[in-house]
Amino acid sequence: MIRGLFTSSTGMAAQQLNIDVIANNLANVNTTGFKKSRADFQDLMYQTMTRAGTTSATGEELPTGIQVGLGTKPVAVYKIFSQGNYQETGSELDMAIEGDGFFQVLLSDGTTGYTRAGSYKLDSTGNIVTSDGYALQPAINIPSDTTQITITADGTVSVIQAGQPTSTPVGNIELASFSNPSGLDATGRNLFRETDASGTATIGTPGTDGLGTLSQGFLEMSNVSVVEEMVGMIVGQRAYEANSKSIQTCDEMLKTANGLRR
Amino acid sequence: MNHEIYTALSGALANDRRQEITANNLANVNSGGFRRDVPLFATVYDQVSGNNRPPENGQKIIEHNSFAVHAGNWIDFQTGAMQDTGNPLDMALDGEGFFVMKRVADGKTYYTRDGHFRLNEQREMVAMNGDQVMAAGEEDVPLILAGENPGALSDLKIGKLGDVMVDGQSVGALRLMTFPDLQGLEKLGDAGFVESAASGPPESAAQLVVRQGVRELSNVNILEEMVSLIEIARQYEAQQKVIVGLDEINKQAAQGIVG
Repeated sequence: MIRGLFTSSTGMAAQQLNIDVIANNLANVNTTGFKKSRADFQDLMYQTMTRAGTTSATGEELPTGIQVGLGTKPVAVYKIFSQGNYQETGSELDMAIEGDGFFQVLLSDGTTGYTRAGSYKLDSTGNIVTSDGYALQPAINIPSDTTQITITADGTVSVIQAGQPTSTPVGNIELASFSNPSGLDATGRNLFRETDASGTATIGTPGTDGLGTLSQGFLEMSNVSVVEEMVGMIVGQRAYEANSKSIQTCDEMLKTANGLRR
Repeated sequence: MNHEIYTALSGALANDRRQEITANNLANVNSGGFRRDVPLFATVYDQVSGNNRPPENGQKIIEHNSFAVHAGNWIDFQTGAMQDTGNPLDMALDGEGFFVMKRVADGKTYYTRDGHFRLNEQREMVAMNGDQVMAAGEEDVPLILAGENPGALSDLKIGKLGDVMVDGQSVGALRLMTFPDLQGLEKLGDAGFVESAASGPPESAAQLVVRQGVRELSNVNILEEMVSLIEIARQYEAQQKVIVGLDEINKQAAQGIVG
């Protein structure tokens, strides 16, 4: 029965992690380019007292064994890369990716970060940067006398400069994709980093090799669905409660056992 | 000394075991593809001949003491609730059967109902813990989702019979197996089952439909487990009362003799 106490505590710990993940999803319901996470659980291990199929002393084969399970464990907390809703912002430097792929940005340590958030700004020298100041890769510089910026679906950036009738291309935006995006490491600030599990990035022009296309003037919102998270929260809370009742029963039984010796 | 106290004790120990198993079911209420355990108990007779008693009507008196023992678990293979996830790498099995998996750590083959997969860097279809999903066919090989695009998986279609198409090209099929006797399977953890002498060897699962974008959840029903918990606690209390009562009788007997 003491085993049951610890089994139930693994159940409570698992549901706590579940609620933690849901809380973070809900906190980011309005975060641009945010991808929701899910906690995934599996049964822990089994203590086998008798194996199924063993032969008893009287020669019969036992059809079932005796196994007592020892609880549950979290096996993964993974990101779900489903598309978020689009919001029209009208801003020239806002881009949404329709389909798979990530924008690449240069981080301060020289490595590349990957993001779905397409809300860009210009820095003092005219480079396209994220709200945190990380430069978009490959770097694109917008001349200071620009009156209009156009970004096409395949990532070509062109500008119309003051006093000029035609537009001039200034660069191409490239997207990165991964064979296992769930294996990316989320580092906060809407950024992901490559890991061994994600595989190396495949770089390509938007609209080719299964990559999505770009939409200028739109932002991809968070893919968190409040209703879905609420349902998850109800399930998680009730499961937590059920495990606590099991601990209570254990406690009651221990009390009863102690009552044997008066 | 009477044996009845041990009979009552065996009942209390049986409820101990029931509590442990109920606790494990409840801990796995959110574990995908988990199958709940139902403990089974059996009566064991301990025959004591009543040699020291005079025969009544010429009949020899035999005293029976019976004990409750945990005989094994019945694994409830009823299908769990289905959740529509929309994830192309989620698959649920409709009917009796399992996905065949290979554990990366030691190459052990096991069987699972939890069709919640992802791709690894070699584009093999794997479980969340990295264990490989095996492909149908004579050779013992994992299912590899090679497609036209080197990057993200753009188009994955799983047919009702487990045939797998990537970008319109067939890349193989899921290996789906079942057993002559499911109750003989042993649990491994990680939502896995392994064969035993009692389950018989795996055989191809014919009556099985694969549903893509759906995930099978645990088949634990909180309500049922709660009722069990109440029943366990009350029975345990009753058994304790019997033990205390028997102790009282022994005490009075002992005091009566001593005077």
